[in-house]
Amino acid sequence: MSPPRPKTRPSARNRHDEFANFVHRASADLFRTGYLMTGDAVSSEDLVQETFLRLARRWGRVSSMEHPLAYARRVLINLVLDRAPRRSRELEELAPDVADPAAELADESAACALRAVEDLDVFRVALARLAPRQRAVLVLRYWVDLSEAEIAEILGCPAGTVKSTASRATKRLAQLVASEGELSISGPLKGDAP
Amino acid sequence: MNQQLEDAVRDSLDRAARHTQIPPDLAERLLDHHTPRPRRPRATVIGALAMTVAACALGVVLSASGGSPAVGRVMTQARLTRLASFDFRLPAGYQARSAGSSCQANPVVFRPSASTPIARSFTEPGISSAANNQGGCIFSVISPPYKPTAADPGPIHVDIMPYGHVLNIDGYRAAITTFNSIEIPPDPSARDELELYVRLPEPGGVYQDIVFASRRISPSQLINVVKAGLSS
Repeated sequence: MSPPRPKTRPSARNRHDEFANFVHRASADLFRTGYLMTGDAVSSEDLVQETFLRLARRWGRVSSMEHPLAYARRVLINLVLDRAPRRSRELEELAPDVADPAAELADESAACALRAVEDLDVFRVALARLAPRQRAVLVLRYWVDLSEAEIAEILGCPAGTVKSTASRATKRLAQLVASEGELSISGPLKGDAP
Repeated sequence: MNQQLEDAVRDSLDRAARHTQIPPDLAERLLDHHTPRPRRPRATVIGALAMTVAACALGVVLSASGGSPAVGRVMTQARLTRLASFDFRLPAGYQARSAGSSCQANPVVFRPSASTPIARSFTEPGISSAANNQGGCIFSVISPPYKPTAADPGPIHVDIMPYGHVLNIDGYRAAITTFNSIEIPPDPSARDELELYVRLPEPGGVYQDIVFASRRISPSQLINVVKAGLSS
């Protein structure tokens, strides 16, 4: 007769299996979120890995949540924003805001511009050129489908700020898409002749 | 912001998310995070290919044959063309030719460091070029090997390319910029010229870049051609 197994063992194994199942279920979704947020597969994978590491440390609590995936997304978005100062600086330097504010598109034109884009790379490049918090608002609002209040809680700002950021970011995105991502490259650059 | 615009953003994000290529073994690698994962598993292979390219000195001119659809839209019709011993997948309608191209543009400028740019003329041997019948041209060449340091980080760095985009192409670090932005003094005629660097890691912390330059081709078209070529 085999000795009785320690009571903690099945529980630990269950937790491990549960976590592994969660990784299998959630990794693609989180990778997509990371990719939308960074536009970079290597960074996305790093972010997803870091997210799971953080979740693993408190899996007991996370697994009892009603929506662990929502919590995981929140961790990932916060990781992106934590890294944002550096990325933001890079992007600002890499992609100076050369668009003409006067050329801001009306809602209808902006919608048309977004609908017309066929090349996903153009859309991704445009998305990557937004400021990190603008990108976060768009991804959370229109892809993850969170409410403005929920996003406000994640970003630590008033819901009104989320609303205005979403509006500005959408128009800016449409503007960048409409220019087919070429403004930053063939538009006015430092040192250009007038 | 009206509903129509919100729906357009929602659809675009959804489409971008759905078309994101998920690494097939992502979950397994994430679960096995204690084992160092290969960050760019194909780098060595491509690096080796790149060295072969350098050794064989690309000297092929490609040009459009007949109707030339937009470069970025024809990836499914691509066929394989061999440049030296390096296979590079080109959009349909392009074919290899001998040297001597109608493409005229500024020289390719390697940026192995901020202080030592090496200009190469498009007419030199060792540079491959492609043209389409809409006047667009693509050129490619392999850079000399370099080892990035803090002082000299290599071309794919914000200090070297302050007006470029650093991006990821098929898992490789890359940067795209205008020729104009690296030319001092700026050449106004070069506004439609791009340079795209793809960093190929090699053992010992050494890198080589495949440098693609283009004229009258949109950034997304150039990126698509390079992406297809690298994945061939």
